[in-house]
Amino acid sequence: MTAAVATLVIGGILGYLAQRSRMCFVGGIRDFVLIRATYLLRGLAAFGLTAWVAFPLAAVAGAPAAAPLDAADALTIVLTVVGGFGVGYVSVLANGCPMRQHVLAAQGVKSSLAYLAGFFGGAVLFHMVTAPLLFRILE
Amino acid sequence: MGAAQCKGAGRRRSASRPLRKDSRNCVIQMADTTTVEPVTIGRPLRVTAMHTGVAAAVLAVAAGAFFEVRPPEAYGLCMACHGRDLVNWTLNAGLGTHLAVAPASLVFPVLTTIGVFGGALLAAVLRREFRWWMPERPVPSFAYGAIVMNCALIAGGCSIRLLLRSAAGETAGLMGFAGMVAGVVAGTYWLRWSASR
Repeated sequence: MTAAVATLVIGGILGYLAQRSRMCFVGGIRDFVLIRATYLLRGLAAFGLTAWVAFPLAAVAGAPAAAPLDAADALTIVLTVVGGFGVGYVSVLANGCPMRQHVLAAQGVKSSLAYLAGFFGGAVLFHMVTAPLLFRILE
Repeated sequence: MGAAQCKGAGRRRSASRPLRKDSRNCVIQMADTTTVEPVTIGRPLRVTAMHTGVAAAVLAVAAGAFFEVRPPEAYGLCMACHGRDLVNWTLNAGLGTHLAVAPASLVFPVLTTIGVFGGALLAAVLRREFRWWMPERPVPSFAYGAIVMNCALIAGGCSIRLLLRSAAGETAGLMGFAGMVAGVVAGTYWLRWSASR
């Protein structure tokens, strides 16, 4: 229950800030490649660097110790890279990362609402179709 | 066409608003795959992307460290995984199915997606930026959403969580983030190529 309330509040803060700043996690790289604009890219870099600093700080501040990171096997890494490539490629076609699409949908962009419908439907699709299919192929 | 104007706008630096202008006022419309974003002209932004990035990172780490959004590790913020948890948990509770959810969402699902939507709606309404934009092509958008969700669940995180996992020091996360950057660059070049054709 703590997690649900905390994520609701955190999501609310983040959604507000993201709407005000037009933050997008793939748009930074896209804008840099297209027009050498660094506004969104600096947001992406700030996120990565801050998180990199904040993880050790949280551990110092008394967060429960992280579970040991299990060594990823080659298959996991390949799947992660392929999935990441797909996320990046299709997000550019869809005009924004998933968080940006949530923000756009909340601003009234109807194609982003359609995106969200596909997004949540895709979760069911994954567990009904994609994951069993992948298991069967990779077994 | 759009890109050329943007290029000019990006290089022309006025004294008042040097850098923000191009990412705010410039609408990138290439091919017919992108959507025109609602853009407000005038009033300068008070919240920059860098502010949002720092706040998001602090909140994401704090969620994982102090608010029980774990396991798995580095799970504090992810639109895809948290959306999956919400959908699957609701279906499990309502229809008695047994779809997978993360351990953090077993008792009650994480609500990040609803929070982001609500926060953005509040901001848009308060600043009078809310208006209905007609869908140009809703079916491709629907398909993009489904594909992104499936790819993100294969990779174990959306663009946000891939970077969060990299920052937490996970090798697979770093490789996934590199793959995502490659995908973005490839997609951007493909868009530019198809627009110039």
